[in-house]
Amino acid sequence: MMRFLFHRMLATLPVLLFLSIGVFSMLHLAPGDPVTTMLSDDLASPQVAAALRHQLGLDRPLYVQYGWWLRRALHGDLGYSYRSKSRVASEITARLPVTIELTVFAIAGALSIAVPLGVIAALRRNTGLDALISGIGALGLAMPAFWLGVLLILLFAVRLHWLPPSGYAPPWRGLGPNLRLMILPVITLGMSYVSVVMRIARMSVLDVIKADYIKTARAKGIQESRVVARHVLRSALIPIITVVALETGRLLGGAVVTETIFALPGIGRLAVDSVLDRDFPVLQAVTLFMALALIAANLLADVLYAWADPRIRYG
Amino acid sequence: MRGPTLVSGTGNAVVATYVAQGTRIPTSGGIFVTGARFVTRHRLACVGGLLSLGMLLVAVVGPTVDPTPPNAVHVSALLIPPSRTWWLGTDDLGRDILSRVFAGGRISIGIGVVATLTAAVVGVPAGMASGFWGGWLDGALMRLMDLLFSIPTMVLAIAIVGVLGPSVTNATLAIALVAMPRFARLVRGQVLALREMEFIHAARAVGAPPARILRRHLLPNLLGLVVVQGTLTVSFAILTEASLSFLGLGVQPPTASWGSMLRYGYPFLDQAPWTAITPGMAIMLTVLGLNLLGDGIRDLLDPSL
Repeated sequence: MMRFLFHRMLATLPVLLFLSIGVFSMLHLAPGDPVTTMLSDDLASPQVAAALRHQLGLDRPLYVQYGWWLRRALHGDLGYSYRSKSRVASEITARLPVTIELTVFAIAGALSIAVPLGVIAALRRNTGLDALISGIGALGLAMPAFWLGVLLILLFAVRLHWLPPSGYAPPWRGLGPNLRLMILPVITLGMSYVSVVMRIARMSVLDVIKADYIKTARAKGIQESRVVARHVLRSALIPIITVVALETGRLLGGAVVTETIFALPGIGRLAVDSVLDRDFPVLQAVTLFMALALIAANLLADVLYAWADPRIRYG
Repeated sequence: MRGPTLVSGTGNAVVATYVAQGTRIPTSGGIFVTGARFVTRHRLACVGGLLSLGMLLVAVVGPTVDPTPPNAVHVSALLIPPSRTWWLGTDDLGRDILSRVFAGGRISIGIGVVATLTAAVVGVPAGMASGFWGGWLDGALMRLMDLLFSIPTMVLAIAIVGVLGPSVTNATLAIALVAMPRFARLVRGQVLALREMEFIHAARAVGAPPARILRRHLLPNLLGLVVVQGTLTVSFAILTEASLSFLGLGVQPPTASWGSMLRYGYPFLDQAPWTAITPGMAIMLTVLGLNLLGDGIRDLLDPSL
């Protein structure tokens, strides 16, 4: 297993290299000069600009700049934000807990609803219940996350006054307010996930349920609920894990939108703000970070395969 | 061995069989019976087709029959709820929401279609070349696709718009770029499977040049797949455009798009919910229609379902 992981990580190195070149070039492809962006108008004399350009290394050849940038990035130094003048790395770490809480709750919530519903739809296939569940799935997939968010705010915050419409309270200042503020964003982000996972859970259970070993389990007289829990679900897990990993990209993209609607100070919100402020070091760092998260999710999926299906052995 | 003979002959035998088996269109019974059977058998696809067609009409015909300009400001009619005069109400500047849904549809669906066509025009030939010739070209193109795939689509689109600056053209370009690998990967996979088939070997054996094999023998066999992927990509592109415009990174005011309408209607949610509900509904119906249609065409082409 360790050997497999090592090889798998080694295989991601070329992607990481290209990724770093791509992200590095972002700053240089952008129209406009970072130096003039950084300097306020009254300071921007040619001498000051030249001095700053030299200090930042912008007068060196591109490959030298890339080398410096990469070395600093590997040490966790991603530069300084144009807007707040603080370190980009510390901006990211400050906002990380919000995004992690949002995405983890969304995945956990979506799985705990979608898997049972998908299994029920498969076990009661071609009934009204199956059609209802599949229909809700199709609707959830077409519903833009931001519209769902708007509708949820309208119903639960504006009309019913059950929950606050937006904002964030850190969990260490009290779990109650934190959770009350996170309920609507988590539903908003989790909904499209529910649809996808439900569809795949239904399909993979339908595939497994005809297998010989399921018939054997039933023939042995094992209770139906136990057959489903121990035998069917376990094999159906593989496609579910794959889809959850594949959909991580969409989840992170959805987090950008969700954080904007609900005014959550997370990494997605940081990405949007950095574009609006033309704050390229931050945009670079967020892009890099999101890509790393996606790569890590796929790596984790490979590890989980072996856990879900003992027949899969690596190495 | 010229022209259409191949399309209905060996070259397209696969697709021809798919269609024949998938739809089981009866040869007798007249067009209405055939049509009725088709509708009952592919109910969801038909609903999807009708929905997509309806929303397309809204976008194409709507603005031409609508007398009110979408950006006309009516100072005496701010945030009016839906009524006889204002069918879908007005927004905070007193603009007619119905006119803006029409005009916004043209922009949103337009961006969706143009971005998808751009993605397909680049992605399909890239995928075909990659699968057909293999080697370093395949390696280079697929690493590029890996790179594009390694960044979450929405984040990549935001980054591209961030570098180029927010505008309709740049949003379209960003969506086309993130959608392109979908076409390239899919087509490459299909070409890898097709290029070992006998009719391709036969074409090579009679000395057909690669360009002719690609255009005459491979392309017709890829069209079904590309159409399905294209339909689903238009829905993806519309959703992405809406997200970008909602975030303020796509269509800029005063131009209407469904996403930007939602962005500017959203702060008035407590006083005038219709300003945000209507454009969201338009997006959802279009995306739902296209998804059902795409899934339907896929079922139609896949005999195993």
